[in-house]
Amino acid sequence: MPRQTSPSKKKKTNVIPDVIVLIFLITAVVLILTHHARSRQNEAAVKEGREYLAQMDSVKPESVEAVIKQHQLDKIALERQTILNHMSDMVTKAAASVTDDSDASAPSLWSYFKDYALLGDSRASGFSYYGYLSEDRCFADLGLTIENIPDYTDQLTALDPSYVLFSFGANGVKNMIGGDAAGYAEEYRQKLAQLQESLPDSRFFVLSILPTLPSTYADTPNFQNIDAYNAALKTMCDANGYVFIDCTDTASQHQDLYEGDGIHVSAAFYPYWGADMLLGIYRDPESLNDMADQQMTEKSSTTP
Amino acid sequence: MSGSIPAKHTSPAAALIFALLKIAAIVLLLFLMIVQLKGQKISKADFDTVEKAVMDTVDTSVIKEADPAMIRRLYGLESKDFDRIILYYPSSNMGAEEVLLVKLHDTDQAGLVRQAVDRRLSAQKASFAGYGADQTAMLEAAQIDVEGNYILFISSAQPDKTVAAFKKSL
Repeated sequence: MPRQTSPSKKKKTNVIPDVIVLIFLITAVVLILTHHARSRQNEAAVKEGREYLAQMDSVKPESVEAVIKQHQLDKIALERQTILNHMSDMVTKAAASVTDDSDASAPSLWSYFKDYALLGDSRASGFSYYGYLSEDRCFADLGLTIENIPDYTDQLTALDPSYVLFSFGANGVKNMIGGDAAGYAEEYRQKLAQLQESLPDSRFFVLSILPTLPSTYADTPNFQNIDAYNAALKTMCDANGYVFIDCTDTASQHQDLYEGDGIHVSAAFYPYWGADMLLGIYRDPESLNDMADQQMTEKSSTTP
Repeated sequence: MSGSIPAKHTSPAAALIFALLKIAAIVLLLFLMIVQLKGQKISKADFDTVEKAVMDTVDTSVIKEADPAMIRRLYGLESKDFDRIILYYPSSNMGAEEVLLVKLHDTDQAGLVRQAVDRRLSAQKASFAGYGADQTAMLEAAQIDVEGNYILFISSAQPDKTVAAFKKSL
């Protein structure tokens, strides 16, 4: 009798190849569809790129530069907003680092001082003495007055900074340079105008004269008139295109950070003073424009 | 005929003068020898011990210890060139208190250190001239003491006290 094969066993043998084929078919369809979709995406991107390049070909170089400049300005505006948002934290951190002997300098606040120069007297010399700012960019020393500004023309010209900060006054008020507040402001104006001829592209920031404590009035009565001197300086700056940065409120809030002589300030004061300077710089539209130009120049010089 | 050579005659005054000159020369020579030996006295005192003796006489609240970079900046001296060197400089830019203590590898280095101290002192005096009377007075009274392989520069309210402690510790 011939051997009879079980129907179910025969059916099983026929199904497996069909299933495998079906799986292969489905996979192939999926792959084809996916590839097609990607191809369409790539074509769209290439088309967009070609259209963009065609557009750029028709744009003048000056416009391209303007676009890049605007990009830099946007970036600096973002930087400014970061500073404004985090100024309190940065100052706190900078002030805290003063007590740490192992790292009394270089907190993040100071890293925002770029392409600058600082001229000043003994009070300003603390910025480099305490390691907050580079001594290569700080031209400040004991006894200096506005009359010393021309002495640093060559060094400043060589440095060619985007902005120059001026911090004078204690000695000028004490010695009554210019006779009175108006005369002092006029002398200051003359010195700045003279220096600007050598630094036509630098922005000038005049810091207010820090007040002294009442204990100094007996020896130097004219210290009581510092407010009047600052008012005259502000008027002078506004009339001549300089930026006046008023630090009076900051000094008044931190009288406990003055030295025993009532004139000089301790290392702990400088972060607050530096914050005022930085805010003054970053709130000045023309300075931001100069920063953008500077960054564009740096980028183009490093681009191969 | 006797053939003798007549004796040389020296007056008593001349003999006295010559004798005094000889004594003076010997005394001077001894003095110079003492000074020279003293200047080259090599102290085996431990640097930390000397430093402690010095710093115990100084108001440390107005000064801070310098790192090698600050020593180079203020004095132009490389710390690694010496056996030991330590500098305490003013905590405030309006201060004039300062202590420099150096242990030399070789006493020949003394000249180099002295020149560096002189430059630093001159710069400080120039900074405070006509500006800080108290600081100027302190700098004028500052002292530098070279004791063989140890050198001390002190600018403080009581420099004599510090120099005395320094000498005693060697």
